[in-house]
Amino acid sequence: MALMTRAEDRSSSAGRHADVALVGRLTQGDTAALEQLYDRYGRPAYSLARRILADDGLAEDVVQEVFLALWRQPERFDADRGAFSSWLLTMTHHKAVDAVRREETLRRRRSRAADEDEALLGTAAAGPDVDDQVIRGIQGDGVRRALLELPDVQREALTLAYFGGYTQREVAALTGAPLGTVKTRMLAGMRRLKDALGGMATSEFAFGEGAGL
Amino acid sequence: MSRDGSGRRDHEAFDELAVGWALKALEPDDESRFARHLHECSRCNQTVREAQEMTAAMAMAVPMEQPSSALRARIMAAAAATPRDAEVAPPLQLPLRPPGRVISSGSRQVRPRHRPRPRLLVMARGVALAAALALVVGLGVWNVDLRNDRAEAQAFAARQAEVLDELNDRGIYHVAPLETSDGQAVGMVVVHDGAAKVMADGLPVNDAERETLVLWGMRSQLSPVALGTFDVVHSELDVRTVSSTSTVLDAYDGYAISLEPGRRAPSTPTDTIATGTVGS
Repeated sequence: MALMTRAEDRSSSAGRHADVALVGRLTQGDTAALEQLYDRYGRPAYSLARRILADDGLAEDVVQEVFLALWRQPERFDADRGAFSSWLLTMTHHKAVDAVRREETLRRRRSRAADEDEALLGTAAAGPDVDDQVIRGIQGDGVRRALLELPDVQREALTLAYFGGYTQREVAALTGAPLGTVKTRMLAGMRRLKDALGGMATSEFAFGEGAGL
Repeated sequence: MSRDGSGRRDHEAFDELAVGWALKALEPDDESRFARHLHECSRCNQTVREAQEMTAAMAMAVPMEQPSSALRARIMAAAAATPRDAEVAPPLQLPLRPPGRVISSGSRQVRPRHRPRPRLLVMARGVALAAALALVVGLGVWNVDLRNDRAEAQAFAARQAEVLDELNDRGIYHVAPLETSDGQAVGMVVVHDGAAKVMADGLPVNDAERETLVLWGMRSQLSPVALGTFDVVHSELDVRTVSSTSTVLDAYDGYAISLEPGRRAPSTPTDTIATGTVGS
C-alpha cells in the first residue's frame, strides 16, 4: 500500500484525529505542533489567501495572522463543531476578505478575477507537483466538477463572494441581478454543492435530513 | 424551506442569510439581523457549519501555490515571541489619554475637565457618538456641530429610543471613551445607576455563540475585575447593555473590553481590544 500522501492524510479520519491531537499539543505550548500544523495547512491557507488577495505579501501576512491566532488561542477550535481544516480555512478566508476590503485592492482583483476564475475552473492548472495532483484527484476534481455543474449564475454568485470577497450587494451590482436574486442563487448553489459533495471525505458532517442547506 | 417539504418556507430567508454569513458576504444590516437569530437557532448553526464545510472544500480546490520559504520561519519566530493567551495574560496598562468625564444630568451641565478630544469633533462617527451621548444623558448642551451628522444622530436616537428613555434620568454618569491600542476611538462605557452600557462604535462583532465581550473594571495596582459580558452584533453605532451581577460598577478609574472564547468571563482578560479612563 502506498504511503499516505499529505493530502490524503488531511482528509482522512486519521488525519482529522491527528489534527485534533496537534491542536491539543498547542494548548500545552508545543511549538513543534505548530510547525506540523503549518506543514499540513500552510500551503492551502496561503493558496486561498493569495487567490482572494492577488498579492503574495498580503497573503503571507494573512497566513501569519491565522497561525499566530491559532498559537495564541488554540482552544478556540472546537472539534465537536467540525474539522480543523474547515475551521482554519474559514478563519483564513475571513481574514483574507477583511484584508482585501481593508487594502482596497479591488481594481487589481477585478482585472485578474476573470482570468483566475477561468484557470480555477478550467483545465489550465499549470505545473502541479505530485501533492497537488493528489489534492485534485481526491478533492479538487470533485469540487471543480461540482462547481462546473452548477447553473452559471449560481456558480458566479458563489465564486464572486467566496473567492472575490464581495458582499452580496456587490455581487448584485457586478452581475446586474437584484440583491434578493443573488441571495437565492447563493443558497441554491450551496445546496447543489452539498448534494454533490456531501459524501466527500472533506466533510465530517452528516448533513441531516431536512436541516440546514 | 429546505427541500424536504416539511413546510419550512418561512425559514428560507434565514437559510439565505446563513449561506451569506458563511461566505462573509452579508451586508451590515443583514449581518446584524442574522447574528441575533444565529444565537438562538440550531438549524442555522447547522447550516452555517455545512456551508463552511463546502467553502473549505472549495478552498482545497484552489490550485496550490507555495508561500516563500521564509514564511514558516517568520511564523515560528513570531510564535516564539508571542505568549499564548492561556499562559500569560497580556499586561493591561491604561494608556495615557485625556480622561473621560463625569456628567451630571441633575444639574444639566457637562463639566469636562479637558477640552473634548478633537477626534470627536472632526470624525463623523465620533460626532455621531458625541451627539448620541448628549441625547442619552438628556443634556443637549454639547457644542457639537450636527449639521452634517444630524440624520445619523437622529437615526441612532430612533434606534435606541428605548435605551435613551431608560438612561435619560437624573444622576451621575461615569463615562470612559474607549480606544484601541493604536488610538482608534471605538465607543465608550457609560455607567449610571448601577448599570453599565457600552456604546460600541467600531468594536468587533463577536461570534455570539462561541465568544463574548467582557467589560473589566480597572484600578491602579489592582487586577482587572470582570464586571460583565455583552455582545456586539453589528459594526454600526449601537448601545449594548452589559449583563452583570456586580453591584459596584462605578468604582473604577477605567474600563477595558476584552474578547473572550466561550460565553463566560475568565479570571483575567485574554485579548484586550480597547481601554478607557474615567476622569476622577
